Amino acid sequence: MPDININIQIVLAVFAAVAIYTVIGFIPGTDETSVLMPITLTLVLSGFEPIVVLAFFVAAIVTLNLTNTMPTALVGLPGGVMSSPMIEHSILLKNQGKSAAIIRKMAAASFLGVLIALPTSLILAGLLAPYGELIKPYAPYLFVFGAIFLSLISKHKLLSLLSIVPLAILFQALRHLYWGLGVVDASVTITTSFFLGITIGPLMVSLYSLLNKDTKKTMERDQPNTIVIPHESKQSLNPFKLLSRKEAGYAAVSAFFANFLFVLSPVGLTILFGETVANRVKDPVEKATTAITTMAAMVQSTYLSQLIIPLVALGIPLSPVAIGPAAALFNATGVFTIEHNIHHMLSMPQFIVVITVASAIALVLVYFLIHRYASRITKLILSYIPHEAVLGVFVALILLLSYMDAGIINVFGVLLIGISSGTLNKMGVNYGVQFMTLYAASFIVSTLAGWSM
Amino acid sequence: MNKKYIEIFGDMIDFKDLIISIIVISSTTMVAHLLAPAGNRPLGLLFGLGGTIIGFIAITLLVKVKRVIHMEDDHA
Repeated sequence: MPDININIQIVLAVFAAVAIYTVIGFIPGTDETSVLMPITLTLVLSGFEPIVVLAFFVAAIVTLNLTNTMPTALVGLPGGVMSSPMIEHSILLKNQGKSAAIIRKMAAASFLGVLIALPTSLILAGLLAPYGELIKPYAPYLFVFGAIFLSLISKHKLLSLLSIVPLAILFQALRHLYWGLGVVDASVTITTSFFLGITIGPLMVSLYSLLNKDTKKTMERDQPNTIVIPHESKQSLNPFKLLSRKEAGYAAVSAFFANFLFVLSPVGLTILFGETVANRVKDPVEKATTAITTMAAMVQSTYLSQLIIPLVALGIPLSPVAIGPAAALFNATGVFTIEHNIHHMLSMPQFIVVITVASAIALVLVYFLIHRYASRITKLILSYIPHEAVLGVFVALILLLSYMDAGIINVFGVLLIGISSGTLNKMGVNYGVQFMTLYAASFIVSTLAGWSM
Repeated sequence: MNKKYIEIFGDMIDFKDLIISIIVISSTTMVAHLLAPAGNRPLGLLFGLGGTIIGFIAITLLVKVKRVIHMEDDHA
């Protein structure tokens, strides 16, 4: 049994995560990886107990995934990457005056998503654990397969497929350049800042375009953004009464199957499942509601399963969440390595207890907060936080993390990644394909090199 | 005067304000990071993030929000 002190630390960590990520979640356009990874890394490096860090992270993702949907539903600005697929549907519902009702449905579906993902992924992790050693050598193949698979299910198949190898060469070229120049030690593989480079690529491209006067003209508007915020409605708090049987059914089934596809991009899965169930509904309003509730459940389910299964069963970051936002739990210079991280330091019962407790406390707190104050928090944040400040923070974060990874040269290296992957992104190569390529880059390039000799 | 807004990432900005924000927040972040004891990764990151928060608060106070906000009842 952990001693009292640790239990208090766990509870404090959960409350801290809820407080921090409720605020961040309501700020539109805050990318999940950029806001989760640096803070978690700070906790890990500061020497907190692994179990406390895990509690913080679980509470953080549950909170963020729930609060990110609020600006999306209320004002049509995406809270983060994961809520961007909901935008089209939520704007349709907002124009119908249904925002107040839809935030409750989203919160209820999110609740349902956690409820289903938690036991499913823990059981799946338990079943997979004995095979962990067998799966490990095949990790690179899985990532290559993932990149190809995500290309094939995306809208622009050939474009995506043809982007994989050039992108892999870009990532490896930079790594080899730094090794060759002696900027970083040969044992260090830079991932964090490259990952963030992909994430804020589209923003980088937009910012660069502003420096072209002709392009800038096309982005100019005469009017500021007029935003009407609906009030919270006075409906039941019972999450099971807020969803129709059909909505709950679609959300639950999708959230369940997401667990088995934990190696695939969470945004990709959310779009895939959300749009698939939406296409089964004819009525446009009902279609949008179904899409949004399923997506809200999927966001929680993909994040939880992609954290829990690799962490509990394998100890290697074999999912997009594990290698991105949760990277610091697997690998943090000086504290965790791939051979010795949270997976190796906690027992199965510890995992089950801390994950369940952290997500339950966070879920209940945020659920009530949203039902009571969603509109007021949104108004407060939109009235006081300028969009410029949010964009400025992203630029500063990428600057800091690229500098910390490999000095000034990497600031420009990451800029190169941002411009390249951002351009591909705008052309239609989605994040999922690009992230998978980053994880598979070393394998793809060394294989190609082998064939070239 | 006809003020021009720029639409980027789903919301409106003013070009000059954006440049100021990026310079201010990047500077506070990097200066704070470089003030941290050398060779200490956790403190370096912590100082950097502290600098980001300081810059963010400064810009929040300095730059005007380009949104017109109504509560639904206000104009009903």
